[in-house]
Amino acid sequence: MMQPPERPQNETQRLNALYERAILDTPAEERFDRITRLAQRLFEVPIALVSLVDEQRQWFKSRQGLDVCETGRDVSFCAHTILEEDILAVNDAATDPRFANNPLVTGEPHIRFYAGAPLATRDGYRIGTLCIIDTRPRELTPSQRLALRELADCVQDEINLRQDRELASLLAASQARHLGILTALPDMVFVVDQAGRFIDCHDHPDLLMPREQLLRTSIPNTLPAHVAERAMAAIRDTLQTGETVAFEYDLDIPAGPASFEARVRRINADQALIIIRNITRQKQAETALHEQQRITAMIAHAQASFISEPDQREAFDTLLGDILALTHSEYGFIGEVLHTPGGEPYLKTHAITNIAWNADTRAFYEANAPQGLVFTNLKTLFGAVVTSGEAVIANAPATDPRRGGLPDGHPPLKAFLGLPVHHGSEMVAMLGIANRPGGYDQALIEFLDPLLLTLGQLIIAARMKRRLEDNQAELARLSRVASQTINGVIITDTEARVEWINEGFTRISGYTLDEMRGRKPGELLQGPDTDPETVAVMREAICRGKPFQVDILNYTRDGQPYWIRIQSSPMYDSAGQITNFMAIETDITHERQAREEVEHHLQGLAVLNEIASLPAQDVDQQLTLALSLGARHLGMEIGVIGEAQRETFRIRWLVAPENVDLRVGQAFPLQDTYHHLAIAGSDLDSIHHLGASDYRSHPSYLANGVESYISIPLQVSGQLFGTLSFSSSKARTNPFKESEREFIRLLSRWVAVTLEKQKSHEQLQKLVSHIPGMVYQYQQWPDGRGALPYSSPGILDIYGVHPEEVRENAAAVYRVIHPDDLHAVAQSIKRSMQDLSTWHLQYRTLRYNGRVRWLEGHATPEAMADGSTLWHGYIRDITQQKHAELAMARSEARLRGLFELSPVGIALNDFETGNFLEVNEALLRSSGYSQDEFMTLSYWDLTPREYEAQERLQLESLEKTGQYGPYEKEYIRKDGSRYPVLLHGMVVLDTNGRKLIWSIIEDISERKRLERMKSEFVSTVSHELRTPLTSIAAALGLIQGGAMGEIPENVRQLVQLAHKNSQRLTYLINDLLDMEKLMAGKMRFNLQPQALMPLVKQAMTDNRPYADQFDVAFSLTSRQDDVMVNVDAQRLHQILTNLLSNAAKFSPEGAQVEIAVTRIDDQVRIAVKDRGPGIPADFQAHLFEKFSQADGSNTRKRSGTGLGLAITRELVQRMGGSIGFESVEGQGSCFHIDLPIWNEQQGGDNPETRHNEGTEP
Amino acid sequence: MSQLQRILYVEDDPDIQAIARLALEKVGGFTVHVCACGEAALNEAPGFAPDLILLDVMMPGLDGPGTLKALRADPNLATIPVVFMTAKAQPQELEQLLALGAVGVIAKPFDPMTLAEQLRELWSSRSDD
Repeated sequence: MMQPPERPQNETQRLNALYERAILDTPAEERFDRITRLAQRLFEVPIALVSLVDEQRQWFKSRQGLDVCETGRDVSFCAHTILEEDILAVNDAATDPRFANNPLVTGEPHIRFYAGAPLATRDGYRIGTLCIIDTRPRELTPSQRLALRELADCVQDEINLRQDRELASLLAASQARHLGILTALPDMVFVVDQAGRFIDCHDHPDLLMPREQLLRTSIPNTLPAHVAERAMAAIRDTLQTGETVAFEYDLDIPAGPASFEARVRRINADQALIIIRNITRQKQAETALHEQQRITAMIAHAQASFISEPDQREAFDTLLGDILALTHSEYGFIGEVLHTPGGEPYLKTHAITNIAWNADTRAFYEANAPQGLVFTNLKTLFGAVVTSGEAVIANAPATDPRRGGLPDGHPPLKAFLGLPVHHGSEMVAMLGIANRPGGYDQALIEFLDPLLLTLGQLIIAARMKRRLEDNQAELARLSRVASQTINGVIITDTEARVEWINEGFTRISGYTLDEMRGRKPGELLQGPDTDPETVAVMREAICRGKPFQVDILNYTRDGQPYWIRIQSSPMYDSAGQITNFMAIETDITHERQAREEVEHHLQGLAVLNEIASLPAQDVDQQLTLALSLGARHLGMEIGVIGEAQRETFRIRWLVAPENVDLRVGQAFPLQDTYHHLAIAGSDLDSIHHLGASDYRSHPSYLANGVESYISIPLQVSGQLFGTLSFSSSKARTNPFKESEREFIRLLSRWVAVTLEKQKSHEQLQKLVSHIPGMVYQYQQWPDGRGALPYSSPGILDIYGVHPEEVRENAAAVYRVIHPDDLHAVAQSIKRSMQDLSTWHLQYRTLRYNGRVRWLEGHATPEAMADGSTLWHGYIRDITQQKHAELAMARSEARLRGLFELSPVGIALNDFETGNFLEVNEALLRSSGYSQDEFMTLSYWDLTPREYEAQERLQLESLEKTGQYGPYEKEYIRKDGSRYPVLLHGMVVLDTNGRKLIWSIIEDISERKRLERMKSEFVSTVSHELRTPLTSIAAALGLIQGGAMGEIPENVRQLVQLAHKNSQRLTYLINDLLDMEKLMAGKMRFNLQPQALMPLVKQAMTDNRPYADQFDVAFSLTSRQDDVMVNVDAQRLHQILTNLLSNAAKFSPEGAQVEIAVTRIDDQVRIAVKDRGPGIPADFQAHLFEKFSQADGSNTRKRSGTGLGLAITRELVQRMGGSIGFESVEGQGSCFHIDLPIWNEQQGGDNPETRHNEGTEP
Repeated sequence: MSQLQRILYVEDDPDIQAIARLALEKVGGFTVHVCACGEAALNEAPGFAPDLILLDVMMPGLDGPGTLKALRADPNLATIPVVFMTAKAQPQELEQLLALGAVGVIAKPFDPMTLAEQLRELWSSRSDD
């Protein structure tokens, strides 16, 4: 008994999983067939299948050795297999109770052995099997079982992969198509938001401004109000309703006035897509068509009314009205040219616009217009037409020399057109029209030409009518009129049999009156393509005796088709009975052609749209398909995209019938092809019949036998690429239509864009291969599986793997990531996936060689339809940068340590605000503030205000040189006490370029205390030294001075020696104290403006006794009696004493010391010149240093402390002067001091004076 | 104008006392009374009735300026001219001493041979006032 298979428990979900694969009933695929063939051979079985089990049947996706493609599920072995986890093997079906009676066992294909491995989806649903079947019993070895399972895994992978791949390629195709449509043709595409702001658009020559600029603005800000309002309303509409909203508008663009059609469609809740097409050409064609129709209608109307209206004046009035409307003129007239008996021409109006401007003119018009107004003065603009016989255009009539002037009150004349109306060679009338906006031009004259012809005929007819009065039968009169018209006129009886036709009708149809008379026109004129419905309409109207108008295709006597417009109306006798039908027939073939042209144009656009939306996977296929669509549209067999390189033309893409001997890759000398004509002309080139053209001897014509071709140069990325061309071995009867030329222009643009895209894709590939690091796409599915569908070659450098190794599975990459960073990488990816935030991470890789590298990655995630996430990003090697960063961090840590541990205070301030940014421990310790307190301090919380002037100087230095200090000032401690500090610092820039000030703030309290102690010590010591010295010196002085009576000579000498040395000791102590005070800044100066010379003379006088000791004389050689100086008299005395005593001391006996006081600009110089030994050159540099004397051995003769000049220089400088000397060894020395000359204006403006305020008695 | 004759000399250092007394008596020919300290000078001045008081600045106890102040406070002694003698003969110290009302300051170490002459000059310059 056969057992039908059970249904699995999860059957519904299983079936869904199967249907989701979308694999059922699809064509066979090599990727599965390959596996079944392999199985067939491997297991040496006649049958191997990939079987999928759906609700009712098993269907074979791949089959070897079996003809049927499906069987019922009830007899299916595989339906059993899908119930199993593992392989189901039936070694002998004939003995297996489940299958023994199975028709597949008992009948074809006589299954005895079956082994099937279930195929599972990724979710675990078993949807089918890979099975092998034999007609004899068998048993699988364990290794065969394994092999079967592995093959089944391959099938399983293919089934599962298929969906992913298809999704990806569908997406790519849709994106590419989207891009293709956007960039190719011929519309402008915008994405805008609710407020009309441009979110996106693509480059297009009709954009009102460059794309980048446009994207920063909005519709209301760019378009004129009337367009913007409609656009905004359309956006509101479509956002609300979701419906596409379309409108048309006119807009002046740089190329001139243009018409556009806009379609607005909602994208999502707050964005809309706007597609704008330039429909100017279409509009123009329509307008031209419309106007042609109007003028044709007018002619027919005028003729008909002239013929049927009893009052011909009304016909002229109507015609004039129509002409004015057609030409947008304000007023005008139709006037017949008549002649006086003397032969002078004059005008008589048949129709004239009523432009009466007052009661008089109104009365005149009403009385005379019906009979016709007469104008005899021809020295006017209109008269010029009559006298010259030529058209007169006067667009500035006020200044036109031909003008005759206007009567008062006449409406203004802004533009005038006068046209002569001829009949044969005779000028019979003229048309005058005025005030067309923008004036008149030649084009309008040409446009009106057929009308003038008709007008001429009407005038003649009117003339004849006048002449013949009542003598002519109406039909005859009509015939005279009608026979002259360019239109066909046909008169039939009530039975619709022809009674009469005019010459025009014969011209159009080829039939003569004799051939037509008595016949029904339809029998002769209508043919195979004549529309039966139109014929029915005509017949119906005639039966009912009604007028009608139809457009109908008729055939000439030669069988040529032509389009004709028939306006037919019944004619009545005096009793009101219909006697005849009269029809005016207008040839509308041109009109039909124009309409066809518009239709063809639209058709072309449709083809272009089709081309633009070609799936964009393969450029070759795309271009070839485009060529074949283009060729079909143009009705030509051959389409070629060729590349021109120097002198060679090479076919790159081609469509051609098989019998044409052309192939892709074929090259020709450029000169031998037509393409050089297009290339040389840089524009479209076309010939519709080469054999009849100048090019019939061109080598290409001779070689190819091409009779028509159209070719256009292709510019790719601004450079000539080659041409796009279509050609045919058949000549065309007509030149290429404008719509066809437009079509090929647009197609060439699309081709160029496509080529550009390909080129830029290639460039991108090149670029990508050259950039450091890698560019990639990483895709991760919800089950955690990851892959890199795209990675640039740089991945080899970054991860040491090839792009193809990780295309399906990213495991190879994860193996390289440093184990310590793996978690961080996984977490960051997860985070990016969850909130779709940019992925950014720095992490390490660890390669097999133990080398660690730092990487940095950026990627943007995108959620995919299948629930996976796709990142686009790049990864670069930042090992070096990282090392630098780490080194930097170490170095910063060191600096930080220094900063924190420094015993000297350090502070960091903002240059602009002066705020404290950082201070170190040492500064906090000295100032008594905590870190937090310090940060809130302002500059003047720390610095006493009296330092403001000094601070300003330091700030200037900081701004000028970037540095300040060192200088001393005081800081205020938290407790209000002050302490001295020594400051210096510099400007630095932080990484953001912010200016900062680093300051070193040294607490010098301790140093100051020591200085004070030293100073006090010196002072005390000098006092303590002086006290015993006073006794010694005085005692010796008394003895030596003889106060104690005479003493023996040898004793006197010793006492003298002792006395002199005690004096020297006294000087030394005095100088030491002076020096100490100067250095400590404690020397006070009492500066007073006073005359210089008395001070000099006093010093000379006071030092004379000293000089006498050396037998040296002072001599004043030059004086400045009126010079005033601002000095401390006592100190200047000390200075001069020093110089004079030095000079005396170093002069030879009997010599003279010369003192000269001279003026040098605003300075006064006091020079003291001796004739001593001079100062050795190598000592001159040290002259003013402390304790210096040129010759230590000369102390006996030239006593001194060695401090004199040092003190002198200090004193001179403190009084604003300077000291210097010239000396040549062996020729004496000259010391000089320069002091600023004091004058009244500077009174009191001396820092030293100010400094001393209030300290003087 | 009377002659300078009687000098009260106040000095704590006995060596300088001896030398100065010699210079004033032997070289200058004055009548000299020496006191070792300011208090002694204040006590003995009325009895001695000096024409001029030569006053050392730095002394233990009542120093030179203090003694001068005390002298000026005693109506009997207030008009006696005072000359200071000091080892701290720095300019601003001189000025301060003169500002106290002294007629002169003599720096130590002094020249014993010209000391008497210096005092006579100061004495007469005071009389010029």
